Amino acid sequence: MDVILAIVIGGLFAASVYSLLQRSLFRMVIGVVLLSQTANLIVFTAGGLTRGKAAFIADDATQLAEAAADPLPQALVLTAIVIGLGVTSFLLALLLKGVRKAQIDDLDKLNPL
Amino acid sequence: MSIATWVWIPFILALVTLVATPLMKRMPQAFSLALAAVMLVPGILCVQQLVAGESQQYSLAWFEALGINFDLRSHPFSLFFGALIFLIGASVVAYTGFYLTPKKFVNRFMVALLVFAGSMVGLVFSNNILLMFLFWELTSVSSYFMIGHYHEQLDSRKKALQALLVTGTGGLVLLAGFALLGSMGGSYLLSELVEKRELLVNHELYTAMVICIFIGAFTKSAQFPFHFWLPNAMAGPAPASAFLHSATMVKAGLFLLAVMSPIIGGTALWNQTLMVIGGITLIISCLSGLVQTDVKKLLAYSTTAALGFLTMLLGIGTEEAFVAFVLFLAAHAFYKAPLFMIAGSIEHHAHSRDIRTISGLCKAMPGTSIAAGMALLSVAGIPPMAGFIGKEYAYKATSFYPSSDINLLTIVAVFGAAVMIALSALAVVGPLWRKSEKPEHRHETTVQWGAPLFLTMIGLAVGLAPIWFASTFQSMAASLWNDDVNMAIKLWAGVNLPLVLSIITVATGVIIYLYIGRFRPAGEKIYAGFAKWGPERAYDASLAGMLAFAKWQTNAIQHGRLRGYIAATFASATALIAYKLWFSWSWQDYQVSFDNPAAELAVAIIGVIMLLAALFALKARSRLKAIVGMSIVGLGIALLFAVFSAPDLAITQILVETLVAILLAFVLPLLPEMRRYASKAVKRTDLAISLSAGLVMAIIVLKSTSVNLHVPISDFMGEQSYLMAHGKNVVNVILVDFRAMDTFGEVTVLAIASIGVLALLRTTAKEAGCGHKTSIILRVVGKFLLPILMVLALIVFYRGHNEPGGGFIGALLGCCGFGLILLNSSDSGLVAKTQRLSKLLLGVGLFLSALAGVVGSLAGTDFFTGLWIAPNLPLIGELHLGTPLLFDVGVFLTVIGFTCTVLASFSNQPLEKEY
Repeated sequence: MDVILAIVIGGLFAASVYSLLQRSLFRMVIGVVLLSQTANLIVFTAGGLTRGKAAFIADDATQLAEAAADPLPQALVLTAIVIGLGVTSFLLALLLKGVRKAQIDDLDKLNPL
Repeated sequence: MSIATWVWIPFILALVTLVATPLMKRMPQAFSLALAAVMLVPGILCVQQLVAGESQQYSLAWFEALGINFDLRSHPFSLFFGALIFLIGASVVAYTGFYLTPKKFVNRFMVALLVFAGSMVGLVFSNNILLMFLFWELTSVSSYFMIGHYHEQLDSRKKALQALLVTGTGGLVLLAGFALLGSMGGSYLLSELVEKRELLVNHELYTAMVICIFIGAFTKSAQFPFHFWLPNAMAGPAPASAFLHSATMVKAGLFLLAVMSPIIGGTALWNQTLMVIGGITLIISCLSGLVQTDVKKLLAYSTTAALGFLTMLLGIGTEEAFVAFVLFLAAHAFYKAPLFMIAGSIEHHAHSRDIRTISGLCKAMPGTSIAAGMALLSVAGIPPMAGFIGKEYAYKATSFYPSSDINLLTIVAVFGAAVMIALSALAVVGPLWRKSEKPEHRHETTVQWGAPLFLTMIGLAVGLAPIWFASTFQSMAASLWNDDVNMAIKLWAGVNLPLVLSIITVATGVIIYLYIGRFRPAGEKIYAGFAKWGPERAYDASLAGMLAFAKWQTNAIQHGRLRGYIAATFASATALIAYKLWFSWSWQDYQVSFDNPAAELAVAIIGVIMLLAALFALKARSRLKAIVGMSIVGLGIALLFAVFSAPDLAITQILVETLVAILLAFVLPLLPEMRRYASKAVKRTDLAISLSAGLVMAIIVLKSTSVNLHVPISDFMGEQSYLMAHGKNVVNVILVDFRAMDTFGEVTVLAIASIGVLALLRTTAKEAGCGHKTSIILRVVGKFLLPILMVLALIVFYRGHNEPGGGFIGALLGCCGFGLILLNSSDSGLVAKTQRLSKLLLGVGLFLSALAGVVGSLAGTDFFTGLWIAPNLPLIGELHLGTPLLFDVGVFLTVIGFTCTVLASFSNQPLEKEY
């Protein structure tokens, strides 16, 4: 399953880079969102994949079972997802303000401004 | 007085001048005289030690590991140079106070002058060649400030830069030479290198090293083909010319060559190069000098001629030559520096430097005229001036080389010496003594004529009492010759060949002086023709080329197009990683196994859907379709989180997707349609870059799963999560307890982002009030949904410590309901109210989070250490309450504040006209 996820991540990463390279500002925003999602998935995958063993301590136990998923990458990714929301909203605000000022969605034409 | 003190004195004086700037400005003349008096002390000590034949060593640990220490030493030749620097320095310092006024920034000039003097002293006393290099470069830098002192003039700045670039570049080459020398000889100490001459001279890198050192010395001492910077450096004030360009800085190259002579000299390469380059410099300077009409330029060319002469003497490399070298060097320093000062006084008085127009200044400046006369006598080599002995022994050296016949070398020397006489005479005789109609009143200060006269007197003393100094000069020559010098040094050696040559020289010089005026117009034409093709043209061309190249590459790399930067970043990162992977790849590490075909298939299907959705988002022509594609990718990721044992992540991801969708719903109507702009070629490169980046990323991910460098720190967290932190949801415990500091940083970022959004999207009351078309069904549903979601949010928040949930998830859940309300409301009052409330929540939330950390600190433990109490309540039983709970409340409130601020800001944006 590592291989499958690696392929998916590669594809998503390619898609985000391609979006970032577009002249349309809106597509760039999509690229940033895709990139942050892909990055989360990369961190998550790199931490090791476990099936059906969430990082919860069982009711009758006091310690996490050996086979359980690694909780640390999950905690990192969780905050990263929320930060991603913060970045996206800030970016959208910038885009809105920029488009209002420049009346344009074309990155290359923004240069002389 | 220790040798190190000598080095520090000028630097300390520079510092004093800097600190006492107001005093210096109020009374520049007295201040300069005081400085000069201090400078005289080490000068006299140098002379005393030189005569007494003492020498010193000094070492201060510096970069011990590299074998580079602050090593100083004195030997007769360096003591002689030290005396030159201090004595001439003292008179130049005194002269400067009268030459420059506070309005012309005498204080700045003085600081540069003193720093320069200090670096020169350091240079001549350095025992370590790397230390010597340091001082070498310091002289270049400080002279830059002196030559460019009149910084308001473009020409002055240009010439200063030229001097700096030429000598600085030479300095870099010299460093290479020194590094070679040091590694070849296994030491950076001159005193040790002297004993390794055989090893060095026979080393295979000898030629390369010598050429590097030659370039360093030739640039500094203005030898062909680098001679052009010195006449140009006359753009600086006269004291600078007197100090730098006659006596000290330009002699640094000669000093280097002289002290290197016993170490790496004496080979055919060494001697012949020096003779040829010195001779060429001498001849070119003489010819160029004869057509000049500028007082200082005349002196400058006569200086480069003298430098060529001295280089030639070093090249001859016999006992006579070294004796002649030190004698001529001394004589030259004591007449050229005064001549430059006199030139400065002439310019000061006549406001011109053209010898054809200035005349009859002797009445106005009688003292100066006496000094000038003395200097001229020395130049001409009339006994008993020092110049006479210098020239006498130079002729002895040339005419005895290689045999006693009169040879080409002697002819060049006689010609050079004759022209030098003519040049010096041209510079001062006409301006001072030519008859003038204008009656002149005396107009000179004591120091103005006293300083140059003082120096010429020293020259006279050297010439008058050679017996006193004979052994001194012998020991100086011996330290270069590296053997005993037994040659007698005396003023009158009877009528012999050198004397005859001297007489011929003076006669020729006088004839040239008298008749040069007639040939000048023709000479100027020829000179202009040659100057066009001189080495200065190469300098100009390379400078222009360098600037053009810099401009080109700046435009090529810093082009200002964002897409170009992104493409370059990804392309180069990909290429570098691919390069690294290529050499570390091995297929054996990767065994593709499918233990559970059904589950693998499920993951594969999710993956395919996500990839298709991403492709759909890329290809979409409408924004809505692009957003749908993006959301499907996001939900796919949420599914993957769920499949791979991360329920908290899955929930968070879904909620964030929902909120992003709501935000986009607000923004979409306000944005222009997106278009495709890219041409086919651009598309192809974009595609190539992104596909290779994706491929490399896939390989990295594959590699990362098989790498486990450290024992995971999360083992500890799994063990202690319940025991220490009383939580069974380990992910949540990490967020609010183990790594609370990280989380605190992250909620702070959220707060900052929301303030940014607030500021960017601020609307006035008039603009606000949106024109959304609202749906009555959603509005009604929203009203019912909000309270339910809020209650749910609290429950999710509370259970989060032991089951999926927590502050982040609870807050996002509650805000989804709120977003629904805002989406369907056209009430700007509600928006304003929300913004006020959410700003408050942001503050309160951050405050509570920080408080949770501070409690730990106050209790004597570290910031953010969890503290717990467990009161036994009647109905609920034992309840664990702790700072992590408080922290989670803070997170919960901050996230609500953030989300509501953002949603409210986006919801009341005025609609714009069509784009």
